[in-house]
Amino acid sequence: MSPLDLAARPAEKPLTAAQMLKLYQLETADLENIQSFGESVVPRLDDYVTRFYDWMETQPEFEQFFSDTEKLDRVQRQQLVYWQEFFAAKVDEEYLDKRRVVGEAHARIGLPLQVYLAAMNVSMKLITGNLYKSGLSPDQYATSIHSVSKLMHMDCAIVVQTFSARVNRIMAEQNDALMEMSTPVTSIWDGILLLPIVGIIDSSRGQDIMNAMLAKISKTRARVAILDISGVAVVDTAVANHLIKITKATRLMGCETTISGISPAIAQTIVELGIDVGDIQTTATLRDALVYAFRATGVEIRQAP
Amino acid sequence: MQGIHNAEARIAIRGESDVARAIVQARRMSQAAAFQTVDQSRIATTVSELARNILKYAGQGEVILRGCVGATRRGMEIIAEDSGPGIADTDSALSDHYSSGGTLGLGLPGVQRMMDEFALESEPGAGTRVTVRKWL
Amino acid sequence: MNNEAGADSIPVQLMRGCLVASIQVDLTEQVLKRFRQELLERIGSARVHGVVLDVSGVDVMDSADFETLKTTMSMASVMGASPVIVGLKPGIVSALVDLDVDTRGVRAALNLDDALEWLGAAESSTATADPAVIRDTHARHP
Ligand SMILES: Nc1ncnc2c1ncn2[C@@H]1O[C@H](COP(=O)(O)OP(=O)(O)O)[C@@H](O)[C@H]1O
Ligand SMILES: [Mg+2]
Repeated sequence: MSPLDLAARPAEKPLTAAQMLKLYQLETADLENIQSFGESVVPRLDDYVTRFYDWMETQPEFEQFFSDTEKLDRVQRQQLVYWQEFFAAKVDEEYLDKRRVVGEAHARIGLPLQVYLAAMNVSMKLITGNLYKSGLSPDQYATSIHSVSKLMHMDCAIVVQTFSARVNRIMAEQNDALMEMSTPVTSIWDGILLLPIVGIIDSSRGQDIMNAMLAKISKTRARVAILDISGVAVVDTAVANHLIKITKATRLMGCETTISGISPAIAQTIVELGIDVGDIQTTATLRDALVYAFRATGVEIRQAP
Repeated sequence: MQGIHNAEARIAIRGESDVARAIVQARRMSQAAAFQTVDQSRIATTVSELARNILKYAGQGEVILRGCVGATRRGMEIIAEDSGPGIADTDSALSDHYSSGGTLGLGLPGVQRMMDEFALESEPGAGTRVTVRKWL
Repeated sequence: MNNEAGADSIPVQLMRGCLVASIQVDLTEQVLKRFRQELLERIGSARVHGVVLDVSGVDVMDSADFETLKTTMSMASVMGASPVIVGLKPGIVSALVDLDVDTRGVRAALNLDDALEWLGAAESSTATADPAVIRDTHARHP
């Protein structure tokens, strides 16, 4: 077996400018190379922008992200500033912050990372090829390109990191929302409780649900409870075990629980997992569970004539 | 926007909320890849089982979700790995109702039934890696 | 009720043709064994169709206590008296379930009224002993 070396990732604390320069091996000489290379490129940046958008227009994402001309204008101006700053090659905290802002902006509009990276690649080609007209010796040229690409990599890395931090943050927020869903056990009829569960059931939530149900049963003297799981994200073995335990617990208090909202997908996964639902009452729809509950508590439902 | 769905997602598993994150991500990616509802369910459930095993038996690890391409078809690959205690007897671990943790013991065998391809590599003391694939 | 109530004995009363045991003492192996003996003797001498174990006064019950009560209930059942346990507190229930006790075949009711009502209904119809059927035969709104 290959070694499974999963080194613990360090906490995501942003590096300082000095640390970044060191990480990307950008030395003073590199920054000077970039600056002098820039002297020939910066005057031609307008040309770059034109060529860049010629390429961009061929991309399927173009329409979606740069539809109106006003927005396009603004983005193009920002792009000019971006490269001017790049060739000024003054890598300090402010420089890093600006790069993070760029990453945030791209992430916010939902531009795929892949498109951003492709764009940087095209930019690199345009800048070092078409735009560059100067009398550097081949050796000097190669050294300059090397320096430029180091800084470019650093810029890309910052954007990628900002991107993923943002995505993670959003997902964490959504998850918190899923996990913190309350467990509103409602007495919907004399003797009938209903608890719709939405989101993800982990063990602490499973425990909360059980406690909420038991407390409500002893308070309302309910004889039937319905646990609707149509909004549950997954029913894995742990969740199934919780559901089984909940029905077992309510039974010990004299209350029969029906689990409703078993979709075809859930039915298939439960059976494939090998879970034995035993004699637990289950139904596909909440409606079926209600009919059962009414019958069990002696309520007759009749269509009005 | 096809591209972003082909991208791989790596989710470090250190707590319950990471498991939730992995489930949500698996759901999204399988949906984007146009898996049928039941297969989305199988994929999300698999991720849940494997991530919970990491948390329970190894403490921490990683779940990787990505698209994969076979000779004639596309699919999704899930890798769950950790450097935890490993599994000494993989045959037992793969059999129904075997659990060293007092739970149902249906996670690994269930995942094996739900997925099209399944591989369990483990070395006591070194860690565990489960690699599974589901084809479209 | 002529129950020579010792400090930790469990009073058993006859109500509507059923024996009702109110368990209010700390559960010990010894208490439970003595209770079992007395209860089964009462079933043998009185003609009862049901037995209610009221544990609403019990705050602590471990899985062994529960198993002992369960065995007592099975024995009562063999003697022809349908057993029902009532008044299990939420805290006890969740602990028992966490301990993974086997609850199959155990009939439970929330309180004494419910239990007696069910036993009465079970007596008059010839209801099966399947707990899942409890609800069907137990109409509150006839
Ligand atoms: N990542 C892991 N690291 C170490 N042992 C594991 C891991 N995953 C599973 N196992 C072992 O395999 C057994 C079976 O796992 P599973 O089928 O998921 O059932 P359960 O989680 O209910 O025990 C576990 O009880 C445990 O002993
Ligand atoms: Mg498991």
